[in-house]
Amino acid sequence: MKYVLSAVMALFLLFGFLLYKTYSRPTPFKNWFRQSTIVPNHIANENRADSETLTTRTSMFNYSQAEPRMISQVLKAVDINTEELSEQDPATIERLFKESKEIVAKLSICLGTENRCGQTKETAEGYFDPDKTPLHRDLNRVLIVMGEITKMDPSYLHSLDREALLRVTKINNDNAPILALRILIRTKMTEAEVSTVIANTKYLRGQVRSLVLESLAADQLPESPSLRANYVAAIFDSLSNQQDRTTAYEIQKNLSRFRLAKEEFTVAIKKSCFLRKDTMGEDIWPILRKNITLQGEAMGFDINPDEYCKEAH
Amino acid sequence: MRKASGFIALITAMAVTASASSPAPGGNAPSAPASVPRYDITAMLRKGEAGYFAISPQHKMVGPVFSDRNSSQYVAEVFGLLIQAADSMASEFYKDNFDDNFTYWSFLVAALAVPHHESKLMHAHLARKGGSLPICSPELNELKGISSPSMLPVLKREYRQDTDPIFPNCSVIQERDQVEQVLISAVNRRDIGLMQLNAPTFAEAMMPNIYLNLYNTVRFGMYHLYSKFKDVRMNHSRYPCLSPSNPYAHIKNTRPASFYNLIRGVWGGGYNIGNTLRDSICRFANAQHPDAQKDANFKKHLDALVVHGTSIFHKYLPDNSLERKALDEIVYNFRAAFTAEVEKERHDNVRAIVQKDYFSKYMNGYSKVGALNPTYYLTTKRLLFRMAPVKEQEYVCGIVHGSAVDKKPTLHVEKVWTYKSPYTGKEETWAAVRLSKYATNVEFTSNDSRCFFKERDMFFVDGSHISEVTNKDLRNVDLIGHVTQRGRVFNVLQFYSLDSSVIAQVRSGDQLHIVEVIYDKVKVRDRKTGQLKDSPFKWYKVLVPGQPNTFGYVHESAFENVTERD
Repeated sequence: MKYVLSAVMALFLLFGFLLYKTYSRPTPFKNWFRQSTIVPNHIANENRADSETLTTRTSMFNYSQAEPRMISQVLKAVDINTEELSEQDPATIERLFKESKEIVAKLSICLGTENRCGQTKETAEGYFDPDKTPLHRDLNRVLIVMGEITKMDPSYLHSLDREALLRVTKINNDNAPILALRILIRTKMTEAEVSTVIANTKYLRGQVRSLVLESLAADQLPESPSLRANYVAAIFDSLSNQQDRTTAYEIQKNLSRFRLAKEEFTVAIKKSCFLRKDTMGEDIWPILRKNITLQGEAMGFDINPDEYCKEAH
Repeated sequence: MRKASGFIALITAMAVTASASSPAPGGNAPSAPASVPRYDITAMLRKGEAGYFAISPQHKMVGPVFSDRNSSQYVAEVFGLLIQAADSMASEFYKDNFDDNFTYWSFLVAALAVPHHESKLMHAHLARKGGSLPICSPELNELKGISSPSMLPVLKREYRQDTDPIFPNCSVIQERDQVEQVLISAVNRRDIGLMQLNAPTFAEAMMPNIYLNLYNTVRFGMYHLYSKFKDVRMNHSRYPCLSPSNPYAHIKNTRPASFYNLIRGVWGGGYNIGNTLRDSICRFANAQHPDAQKDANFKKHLDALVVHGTSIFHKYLPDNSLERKALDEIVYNFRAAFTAEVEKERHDNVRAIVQKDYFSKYMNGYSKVGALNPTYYLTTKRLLFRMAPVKEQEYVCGIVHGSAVDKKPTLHVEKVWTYKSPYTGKEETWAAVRLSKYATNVEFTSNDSRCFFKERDMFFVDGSHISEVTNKDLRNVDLIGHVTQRGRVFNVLQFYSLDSSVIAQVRSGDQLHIVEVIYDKVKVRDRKTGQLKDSPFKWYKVLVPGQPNTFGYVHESAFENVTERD
C-alpha cells in the first residue's frame, strides 16, 4: 500500500510539473526584441541568459527583455553624439533612422496605455513610477537619435512617422513629449497637428506641459485665430484646473513664455488665483505674488498681483 | 498676532519634562525615553546589514568616505551636502522675511530623514583588514549575487572591464590592508548608495560619475525626492491622509499640522513605491497594508530627527559645530508649524551651511584613475562640458575645473575642429573630450538624463579654452604625493628604476616630490618570466629622498592625495 501511495504521489507531482511547464511558456511577444533587426545575434544571445531568469507576466512584451535591446549597439549610436553619428555611413544612418521609427511607433502606442507595454508594478524590480519606466527612458533615447539624424540630414524630416510622434506628445513623461515636438516643429506642422499637440497637453502634468506649450509659442503657433484661441484656452485650462495644482503652479511660474497679450496675461493670472487658497497652514501667496511679478516684468507689464487676486484671498 | 512667548513656554516645558540640561530648540537626545531607538551609522558595518562593492585601489571615491577615524567629519559633510542640495531645489518655496516657510523646512527635514532611513547615512566606507566586514565580497565584486537583468549589463560594462576594473576580483585586493567600499542593499541587491535608489529604474545612478561621487549621488537622489515632494505638496488636498497630525502632542501649546504626514506620505508613496497615486501616498495611514511596517520604520527615523533627537546627526555632530546648530534650526523651524504661537524663524546657520564649501577639497585633486590619459589643460578656471557641440543651455551637462597656471592636463581630447555653426552662424572651435566619469574635477550640474546615458563617454567643450600639454610643461609639474601603505613585511614602498631594479625605499605616509608624470606606457620586467611588458599604470618620476639628483620611478598605485605643492 505504501508503494502504491508513493507511486500515485510521484505521478501527481510529475503531472503538476508538466502542467507548470506548459503554462509558464513565454508569451508570443517574449521574443519581440529578437525579431527586430536592430540587435546583432551575439548581443541578443548574450542578453537572453539574463532575461530568462525573470518570470513573464506581461501582456504585450517583457520590458526586461526589451531593455537590453535598447542597450544594444544601435543605442550606442543613438546616444546624442553627433560626432559618432556623423561618422556612420549613410546606409547605417538610414537603418538607424528606420529602426528608431519602428521603436517610436511601437512604444508610442503601448506606453500610452494603462499597462505601459507590459510594465507593471509586478514586473518592475521593486520601484514603479508609471511615468518614468525603463521603456520611457529608452523611448527618449531613440527620439534623441532621431532628432540628431534629422539635424544632420534634414531630408529625413520628410519621412517621419508623424502620427507616432504626435502620439508621443500625450505621454506624460519629463522628456518624451518635448523631444518628439522638437522634431516635429522643425518641419511645417499642419494646423491639425498643432491642434492635436495642444489637445494632448491635457494629458501632461507639471513642468512638461509648460515646456510643450512654451515650445509651441516659440516656434509653431500659426496665425489662425481658431488655433490661437485653442492654445490660449489650453493655458487657461491649465491655470484653472484645481485638480492639478502642480501644473497650474508651473504654468503660472512661466507665464511670460507663452507670448500672451496683456489682456490674456491678466486673465491668465486671474485664472490661477485659486492657488492662493492653500490649506496646508502657511501663506503661499508671497511666493505666487513674486512669480507673477517676475513674469509681468519679463513681459514689460506693470501689474499688481494683489489687485487681480483680491477675491481669492 | 501670536507671540513668541508660547514657543518659549513649549521649549521650557520640554526642558522640564526631559530634565535636559540644555533647552536648545533643536531638542537633544537625553529627553528620549529608553525605548526610543538611537541610531548609529556603524550599524551599517555589521554583517548582513548591507552589502558593499570593494573598489580597486586604482580608483577612488569622490567625496567623504566613512571610517572609524573620521565619523564626525563624515556625518558633517554628508549633512552639508544634503542641505545644500535640498536648499537648491526647495528655495522656490522660501519667502524672505516670513516666519512660516514650512514647506521649505519640511523638505529640508525630508532631505535628512530619507537617507537617514534608507542608508543610515552610509555611502562609502574604508574597510580595514580584520574589521567587521571582509575586505572584499566575491559575491558582489564578481557580480554573482546580482540577479537584476537591468543592472548586470551596466555593472559589467562600467565596473568590470578587462583591464583596470573598478570592482576587481577579490583575489586581486584581498591581501590589502584597507579598501574603499560602496554600498548596495543587503536584501534585494538593487538599491544603491546613500539615497538607496532603485538601480533598475535609475540606471544613470549606477554610472561611476554618480555612484562613486557622493556630491552627484546626493543631487541625483534629491531631485527625485523633490519632484515627488513638490507634486504632493501642491496637490495636498487630493490626499485625505495628509490631514493635520501632531507629533508633539505630548507637549503643551502645540497643535496639529499637515507637514509631518506630508513627509511620511512622500517617502512611502513617492520615494519607496515610486508614484503619487492616492493609495501610494496614503499607504502610511493604512495599518493593514502589507508594507505598513516599512512606514512604521520610516516614522521611527523621522521621529529620531524631529521629536527625540536620537538621530545619527544628533549623535555625531558636535554641539558647537555649524552643522549641529543648523540641524537645530531646521528642527526648530519645522516644529514651529506645530506650535500654537507664531515663532520667529531661525536660519543664520542654515544660510551659512548653504554657503559653505564642502566639496572643493575633493575637486582639488585631479583624477589619475581609469585608462584616460589627459593631454590637454584648461586655459580657464572652469569650462562647461556639453552633451553635444551646441552652445545652448539645454545641452550643458556640467563643469570641468582646472587651472591655467600649472598647466596640469585634465582632458583627454579626441578631436578639435572649427566649423561655422549652423546654429549661431559663427566660427566655433569645439573639442570632443573624454572625461574620467568619476574625476574629482568633473562636476555634473544637470539632471538631464541624456548626460548620464550608459554609453556616454564623450562630451564637448569650447575648444578655444584648452591647450595641449607639451613635454616642457610636463617637466614643470610640481606635485607632492603621499606614499600609501604597501608591503607587508617592512611597511615600506620600493622605488624602481625603469628596469625594475629597486633603488631606494620609503615609508608609508612619506611625501614624495614628483618631478614628472610619464604618460607613455612604461615597460616593466615580469619577475616570473623575465620578459618586458607594458605596465598598466601611469608612472611618476620622483626625487629619491636623501639622494640628491637621483630619480626613481613609482607607479600611480603607490600614491594617494597627489596635491599641488605649496
